[in-house]
Amino acid sequence: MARIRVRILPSNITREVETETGCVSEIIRRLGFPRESIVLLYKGEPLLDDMCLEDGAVVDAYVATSGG
Amino acid sequence: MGQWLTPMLRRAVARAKCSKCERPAVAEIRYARLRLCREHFNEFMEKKVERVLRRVGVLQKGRIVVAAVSGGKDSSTMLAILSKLSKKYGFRVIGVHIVLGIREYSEKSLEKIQQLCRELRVECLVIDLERVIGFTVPELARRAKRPTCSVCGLVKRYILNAVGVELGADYVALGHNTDDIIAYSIKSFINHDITQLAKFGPSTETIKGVAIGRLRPLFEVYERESLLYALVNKLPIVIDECPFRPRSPMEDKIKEFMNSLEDDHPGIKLAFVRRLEKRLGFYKSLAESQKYGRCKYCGLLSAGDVCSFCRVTEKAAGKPLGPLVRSEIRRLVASIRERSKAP
Repeated sequence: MARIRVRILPSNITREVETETGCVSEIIRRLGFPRESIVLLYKGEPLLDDMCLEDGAVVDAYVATSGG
Repeated sequence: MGQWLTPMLRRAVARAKCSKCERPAVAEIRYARLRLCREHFNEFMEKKVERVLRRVGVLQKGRIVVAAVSGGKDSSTMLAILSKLSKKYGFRVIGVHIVLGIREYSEKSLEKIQQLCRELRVECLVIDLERVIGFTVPELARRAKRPTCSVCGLVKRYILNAVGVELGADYVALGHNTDDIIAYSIKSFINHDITQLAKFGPSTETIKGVAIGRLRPLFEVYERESLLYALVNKLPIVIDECPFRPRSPMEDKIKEFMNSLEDDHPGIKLAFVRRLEKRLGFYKSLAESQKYGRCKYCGLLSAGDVCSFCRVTEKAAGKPLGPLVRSEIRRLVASIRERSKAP
């Protein structure tokens, strides 16, 4: 199990996502967004789909469809 | 289940390599089966824009492109790429930012735009609506009894076109990305508005002296790619949403649906806009013919005697403000010309 804290932008809402793998594709799925509409950043760097995070990691999730 | 996953968690955030070099990948382009490092992702994006501009005929020395910049991810990405390509091909890019007077949102946007233009070394014109006509967009909308977003769009279209006319520009470039174009065109299908649909190509035509053609450099750039470009290049962008943005506009629902489709069928969005571009001639042949003339007050494009901007401002302020806006823009453009003459 890996609990990931996700700060969703631009709404600035933080959600804690409980995952089995801590992998990006699972985080996005659990957040409920199509993967095409979101970019996850960890320590300022974009994450690829098959990358996995440790329990307690904090990431920023930019929703691409918001604003312009 | 957690037991066998432990090694995977230990290699947390291990980065795959770029498909083209040994550097770590920052972007995955599923429809192209590529993983790209920052440098190759930038190259990939710039080539996409370059191809669109070549088709339209912008990549020529002496062309003038007015780039509409709001401070958001799309227009900032567009300006950054246009600025690079302009140096390579010798066309001129001038950024235009309109201060709409939407409280802190406008203040933040202006701050980011000024920073972006400084960093890119692109000349940017800032037009403060309240200073020019005495009203912000929300005030104008309230006085004209029109929805704020509709007045905002009208003001932006009018000012961008007026700047383009005064500068003798070839195009006004807008930050519409693939997802936007799909959303607008599906909305046009829903409304059976073929005339509108026929306008969603990578460019529209110029009517000399009255209307400057629109250019969509991000025609083949996905919204996610545009965001990624802004993030990996650390462009100064406004992340906040406009406080007047509707809660759940139809465009967002269409984008969500198309993104779900793209998840299962990578490349479907790109195919959509490419096919749309191929069919534009057909849609244009079905479109209702529109007769345009000049506004009797300001002289710019109008479907009737008076253009929408002069009509709305006349309702809000008691007199049409198009001529006032045009004279202020003329003054700003003259100052740009003076500066470019200076040694």
